[in-house]
Amino acid sequence: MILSETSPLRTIIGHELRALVREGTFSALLGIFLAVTLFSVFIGWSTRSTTLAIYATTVATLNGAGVSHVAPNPLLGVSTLAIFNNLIIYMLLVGALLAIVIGHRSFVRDRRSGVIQLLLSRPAGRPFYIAGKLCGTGIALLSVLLGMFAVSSASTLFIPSLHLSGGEFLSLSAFYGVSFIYLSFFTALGLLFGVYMPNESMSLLLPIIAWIAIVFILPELSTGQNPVALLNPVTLAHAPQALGTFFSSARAILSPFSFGQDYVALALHFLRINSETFNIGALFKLAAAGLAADAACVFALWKYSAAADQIL
Amino acid sequence: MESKQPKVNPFAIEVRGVTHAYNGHKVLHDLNLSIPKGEIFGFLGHNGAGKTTTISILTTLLRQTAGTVRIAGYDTLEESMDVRKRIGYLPENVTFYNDLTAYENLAYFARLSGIKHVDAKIDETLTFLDFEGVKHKKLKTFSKGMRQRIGIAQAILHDPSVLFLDEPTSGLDPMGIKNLRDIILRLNRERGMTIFMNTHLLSEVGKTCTSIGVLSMGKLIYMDTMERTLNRFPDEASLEGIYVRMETAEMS
Repeated sequence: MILSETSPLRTIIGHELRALVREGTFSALLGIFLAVTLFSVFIGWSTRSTTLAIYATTVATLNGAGVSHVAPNPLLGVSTLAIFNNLIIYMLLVGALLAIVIGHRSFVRDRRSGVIQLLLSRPAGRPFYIAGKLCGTGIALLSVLLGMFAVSSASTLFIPSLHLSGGEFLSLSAFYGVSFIYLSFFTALGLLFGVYMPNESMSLLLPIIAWIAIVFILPELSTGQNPVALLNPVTLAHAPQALGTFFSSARAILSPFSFGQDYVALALHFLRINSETFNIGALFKLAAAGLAADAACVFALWKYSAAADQIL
Repeated sequence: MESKQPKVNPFAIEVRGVTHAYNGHKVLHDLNLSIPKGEIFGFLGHNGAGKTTTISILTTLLRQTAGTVRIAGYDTLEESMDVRKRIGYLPENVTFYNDLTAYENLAYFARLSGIKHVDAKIDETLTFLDFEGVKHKKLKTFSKGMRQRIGIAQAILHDPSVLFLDEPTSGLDPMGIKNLRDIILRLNRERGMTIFMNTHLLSEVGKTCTSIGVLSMGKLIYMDTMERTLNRFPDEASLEGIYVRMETAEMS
């Protein structure tokens, strides 16, 4: 069995997780991530409660003043899942960084400790080593997201008047699912640069630059035609358009690579905040980007482990 | 570990006409070596002579451009899995995982080597190396000599018949060198292990090895038993003098 107790794949995956947990950088980022998850739920709940309280006070005041026809509660049409709204931005920022660290450390750890040749000289060999790296980093990322899911789900149990229905739990799971797909791309990016760049600092800096480009620069350029889209997602049809051809050209060229924007659109849909921006193509695009990055990692790891230069 | 009938072969290592080139540049020229079982073989040569390339080929990490290599009777290209099960390897400058304990490091390599009773095997190996007390200490607290001992432990955990050591004394203090020498001699004497050692330290070769080979610019310029080597150059007081004479003769 490929995942039996003595299988090399299981051994490598187990080692990846153990080694990662022992490292300070990962543990610190994980702690921050879980804390912001809790914090974001609190902020979401607090905002909702404040709005409801203000509405109730206003209704009471108006009723006291003899006004009988009051506008309906504005939160009635808003899903309870909207309290997780802030998680989207945390995923985009801290989550992507954590994903890069997971991928980056996975290979750099082996190179720094000089064990790559040793590992490849074991009977398990190169295919298991590469598969173990990809599965190990994937499971590490999945564990982080499961932890967040547990924290966010559990927190709703302790908040008064906040109950998620079965459907809402499914939607929340789908949100974490799409977050996993989005973050997998960054894990692979961290691993890829870790393999290609012999300089450890540069190998971490470059995926961070790529992350800045994907999360900040590309959306800015590709939504320049539709300047309010990032702040307040609205469909293009309703948004004011920028003048000139620069932004429309930039949008045409760069929007296919603007994964951050795609992720936000999908996350807003799964958290039932805004479904107007939903596009199933974006989901396939995120998955394709992740798979392409994984394929690049397989190629890089294979090439690295077979390269004569590193053996000399 | 998969049980396959061991091949009957008097040689632990057989290298026939091995040539290796990187980007058209030849780094090994028609290398031939026959190392009988139970030898401690010292492979000498200056930096860049091709020693590490040779050890990489012998340990199945690198495919030679031409020629054949058999380890314990198994071909390194056709039967690389069988070779890997029968070799132990300690590359140069391995530091292992600092944040893991000695046990965790060894268990990782033991499992990758297909060992079933990992705990018992680690205990047995650490006892053999007189290193029992450190099992649960993190490697970041270890000295270079202690790390090297962990390196030897991971290389012998699965009872290999051939052990490859690449510059094992590199960076060790005199006490560390002496400890390592004792371990190598015990492995050879008590476990019958054939040991192939790349090294610069000629004084250690003289004290440890039963035969030597000298590689210069990718060519094997000398190979014989230690005893015959010392008898052949009676006017040289040390192995260092012999080595310098060989290299100088080759260069000229």
